[in-house]
This record gives sequence, C-alpha cells and structure tokens, in this order.
Amino acid sequence: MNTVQTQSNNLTLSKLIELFEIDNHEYVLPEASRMASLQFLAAGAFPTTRVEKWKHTSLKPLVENQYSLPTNLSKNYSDIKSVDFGTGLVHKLVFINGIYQKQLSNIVIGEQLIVDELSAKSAPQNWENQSTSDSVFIHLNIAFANDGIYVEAPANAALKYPVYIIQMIDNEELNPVIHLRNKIVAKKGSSIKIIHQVHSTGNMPALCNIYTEISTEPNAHLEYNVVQFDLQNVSLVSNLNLQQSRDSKLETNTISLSGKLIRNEVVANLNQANAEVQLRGIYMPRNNEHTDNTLQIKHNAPNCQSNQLYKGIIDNVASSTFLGQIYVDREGQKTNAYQSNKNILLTDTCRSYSKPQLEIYADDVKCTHGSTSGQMDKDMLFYLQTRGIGFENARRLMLIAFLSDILQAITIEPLAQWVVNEIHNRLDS
Amino acid sequence: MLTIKNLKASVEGKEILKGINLEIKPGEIHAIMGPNGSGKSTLASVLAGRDTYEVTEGEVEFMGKNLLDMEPEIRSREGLFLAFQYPIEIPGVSMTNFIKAAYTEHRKHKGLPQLSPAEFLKLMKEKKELVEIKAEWSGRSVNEGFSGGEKKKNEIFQMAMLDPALAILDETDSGLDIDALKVVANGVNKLRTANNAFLVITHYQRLLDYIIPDVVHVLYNGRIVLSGTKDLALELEEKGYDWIKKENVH
Repeated sequence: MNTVQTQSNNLTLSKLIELFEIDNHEYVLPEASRMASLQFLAAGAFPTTRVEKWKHTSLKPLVENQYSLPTNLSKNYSDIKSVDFGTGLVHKLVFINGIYQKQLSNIVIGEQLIVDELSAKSAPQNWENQSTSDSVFIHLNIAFANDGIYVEAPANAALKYPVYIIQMIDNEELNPVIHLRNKIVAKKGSSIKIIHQVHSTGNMPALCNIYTEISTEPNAHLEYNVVQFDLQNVSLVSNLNLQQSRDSKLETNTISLSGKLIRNEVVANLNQANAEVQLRGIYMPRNNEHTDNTLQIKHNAPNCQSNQLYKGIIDNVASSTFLGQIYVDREGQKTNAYQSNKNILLTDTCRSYSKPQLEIYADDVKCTHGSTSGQMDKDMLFYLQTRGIGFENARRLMLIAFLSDILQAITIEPLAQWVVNEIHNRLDS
Repeated sequence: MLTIKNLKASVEGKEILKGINLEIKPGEIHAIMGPNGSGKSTLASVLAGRDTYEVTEGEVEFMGKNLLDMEPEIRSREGLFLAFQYPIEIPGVSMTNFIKAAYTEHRKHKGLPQLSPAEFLKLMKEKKELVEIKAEWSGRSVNEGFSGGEKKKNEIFQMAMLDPALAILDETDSGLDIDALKVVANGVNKLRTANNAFLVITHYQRLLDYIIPDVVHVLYNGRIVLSGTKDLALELEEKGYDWIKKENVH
C-alpha cells in the first residue's frame, strides 16, 4: 500500500544490477561463478533490519541514493592523501574507483613479493567462489568485481617493506558504485605486513563493496591493517575472509575513522591446529554515521587461539554495532577464544549495540567475552584537571589512552604515527 | 593566602559544609581533624573544584583571587594542589606523559619558557628521589597497579613537581605503613618554605608527629568547632571525638 510507494524511490537490488547491463568491463571471476551469483541476486533483496545479522545496521543510507558506473577520469591524482613513509620504502598499489592505477603504483625492486593485477585471465583458479554465501554483497562482488590485486609472500620470505593498498574513491563529480576483490596469500613460513586504505575525495554518494580473502599457510605471519577515513558520503561494505593453516598467525587492525555507513564483516577460519588470530578494531563514528563490525570466528581445529578487541568512541547522534560470534567445532578442543568490546559514548544521543555470541560444540575450551559501554570516567578527568591539565587536553589524553592497546599493536611505525595524528585531529575538531 | 568565609556546600540537596571559616597564611601548616562524615574530604573536594558539590554560600579567596570562579585546572595552575585520599588510576596514560602535560601547562600559565627534555628529566629524577620513587615508574600508567603506599608517594611526587603555593593533603596517611608515612612526611617537610602553606586533613594524630602543624582545627558536622595548637591533636588522640560530639549537639 503506502509503504510500497514510499519505497519506490529507493535503490533496489534489481535496479543496481541493471546498471551493469550496459557495462563492457571484463569481470574478474569465471563466468560460471558469476552466473550462479547473478541467479542468487535475481531472487534476492538488500537485507532489512528484520534480518538478524542486520538488526542494528540499517542500509537506509545506501538505498536512499542512486549510483552510476565509474568512468575513467582523466585527472591528475598525484596528491593522494596517505601515510607518510618519509624515506622509508613501501610497495604501493593504488586503485581509483576500483581500477588499478599502474602509473601511481610502485613495487620496491629486490623484494621477494608476487603482485598481480586481477583479471579473468590471471590465476582465476586462486579464487574461492563463496557461492554458498547468503550475503547479497558477496554475490554482488562475485558478479561485478572487475579489478583487484593478488599479493603473495612466497615461501619463507620475510618481507621487509609493507604492502600499501590505497583504494581511493573519487566522488567529487559522480556517484560511483565500486566492486573490488583482493586476495592476499602468505605462503609457508613467510611474513608480510599489509595496509589497506579506503578513503574518498568528494561528497557525492558512493557505494563501495570490497571482498578480501587472506590465507596464511603453515608458520606464516601476516599483519593486515585497514584504515577507513573521509568516507562522509560513502556506504562501504567490506567482507574479509580469513583462512588459516597450522601454526600460522594472523593479526588485523581495522581503524574506521569516519564513514556514512561502514560494515566490516569478518569470517575467520582457524582450519588447522595451533593457528592464532588477533582481531582488533577502532571505530569513531560521529554526526549521523554508523559503523558496524560483525565477526565470526570459526575454531575448526584443536589448540587454536583467537582474540577480538574492539573499541569505539561514538559522538553526536552516531551509532555503532559490534556482533562477535565465536564458533567452536567439535574438533576445536583446547580452544582459547577471547572477546572484548568497549565503547565510550560522548553524547546522550549516540548509540552503541554490542552482542557477543558463543556457539560451542567442544568440551575442553576457554572462552571469555566482555562488553562495556559508558561515558568518560569523570573521576579520571577531574584528577587530570586538578594537575592543571585543561579539560580538552585531559579528554584527549584519556581517549588516546583508551585506544592505546590497539594503537600499540600496529607495528608499522609510520602508520601507527599517522593513525595517532588523525585521531588527535579528530578529537581537536 | 587562603581565606574561607562562611562556606556552605551541598551534594544532591544535602548540606555538608555548613559555614566554614578559615584563614591560612604563607609558611603555615594547618591540620583539619574530625570524625568520619564531618565534611573533611568535602572541603578538600570543594576547594579543588569538584563539580559534584554545589557551593550554596560563602567566599574563598586564594592568592587574592576568587577561587570558586576558577575551573579545577586553573586552580591548579594558580598554585593549589590536592593530594587525593584515593588517587585515581588512569590506564594507558604513562606517568611521564602525565606529569609532562601537567608541568607544561603550569609553565605556560606562568609565562615561563618550557624546559628542554634533558632539563625536565633531571627535574623529575630529583623530585622522585625526594619521595624515594623507583626509576621504573615513569613508563608505567598513572597509579595503575601501584600499591597504596606507592600511590601516596606518587601524590607527593606530583606535588613536588608542580611546586604549589597551597597543598591540601586529604588523608594522605590512610593506608600507609610507618615507613611509607615517614617518607611522605619527610617529602612534605623538605618542600616546606616560608612562602607556601599546607592544609593537612587527617583522621588520626599519627601523621602530625611527623608534619608539625601550626594550627589544628576540628571539623564536626560541617563546621569548624574548635581550633588550637598541636596539643589539641594530642588531646583528641587521647579523648577521642565523643566529647566534641557531646558539646555540639543540636
């Protein structure tokens, strides 16, 4: 009845798919996978808040806008906002509106690193289809991803320089819809550090749908840092799929500084014994922004360890969601699984939802979870003030202190410094 | 230095301070004693600027200025220091960053040039020695995991760094063993000059064996009911607070 009419201006899944009918891009995934996903999408719709996994994250900011296919802009993009490495070396891989920019990218010579632009021709056999997924966004990505990067640390390579993936959204004059796919592999005994940056330069609406798969082979060590910022009018949906072999260690630090709608969904699979995953995140939504971190940790093998540590500072009328599921399979004996989510609410009008979920089928496991949401500690503020530290300065000191254990986990020094500076700037504004 | 006139303060509508009058001059040490719940800590909190207490009447002049008009940080920079009865733990803020932030603000307020990192470290080392603080404290978070004695020593260290005109010690002796008590008292005595003053709030006479007061006041039911010399403290120790209570029945 009336509701049908009011919804008619909203973006529907079928309208979004129609856009791609006139597209002549080459897609990354094999045709068979794409067709299966298109079939799923034909019968699907964007999830509403009636769907359990989306209960506290409304897609309203996403569907109340229209998008168009990105066109290649002939602009000079030499001055892209990014972490300053000074004289330090870094492998830089730049994407603008989902398309790899070779002339802006740079691979340090002499490092044992394999980097390949993705296309239907290059190594499609490396791709997991995820065709069993029930996620509209994963299927959209399978169907329409037309670029991405493959990064591999070869066996026993200890990479000296970080890999810096910059994914810039130019929404100054157009409202792009972007699908990007990345795959990162740490082969046996290798170690590698990654930075994945997503930011936008304009104020037009944009929709960005990223799928990243990371696998660590036995004894590999991988650090994956995500920084999301300046996304004031962007709906960003990011799906991260982790696959870990025995004795491997994977650490993720997800820093969401600002975004109209950010959904970071992580599925971590601990597939073999003694694998360890550390998942950390900072989110700081303000104004009417919303940040969502939805995690599922699957302990599929014995003696694995997982640790989730997420902290949020919520301002104005912004909101956040944290859903953390720990699943321990019957095989997952001697599991150690921890989860902690802490939120500081700066105003009376902001909101934060936090929900732990444990599903345990093994009998010899250690699982703990904790969640707190509250205001800044008035006693601490007063103590600092009585020492002559002004209110604003005291507040900043305390908020940085609140985030300090996560900030200290970022081992790429220029990145850590950059994040601290960005947070300082944010708290000053 | 400090003149309190008819100070009344309440919390959630309940009057705690019912008209305090007190004058402290440079070079003096005043002690405030009194039974539990008499308003001793409230007085300390109100002077430091805690906003949970509402000042309903009275005036406080500090170094010629209206203290009650100032934010807590301004009171500090103007030379008022409160050593907390229960120092607050601040995880994630290192002792060095904390004291540096405070010291920097104080210098700025006084229009003094900032110290070089080397000069600052030297000053910190000197003041730490005063209260026998171990070197490894600097890297630790403020008061986090400190023992009761370490927390109180840390308060005196901060006092030494900020060099206040008036220091209020709120039950600094509570929870201290005799050795720590001596260290703390010794620190205070070394910091004493003809130009600064101390207001020592305590429940027991014990601390006053080491920090000798010029004036002792007895606070009861929100008012100073008796003032005298250090002998008054001894008398209280001997007779307890009951006779004060009996004489001040309303």
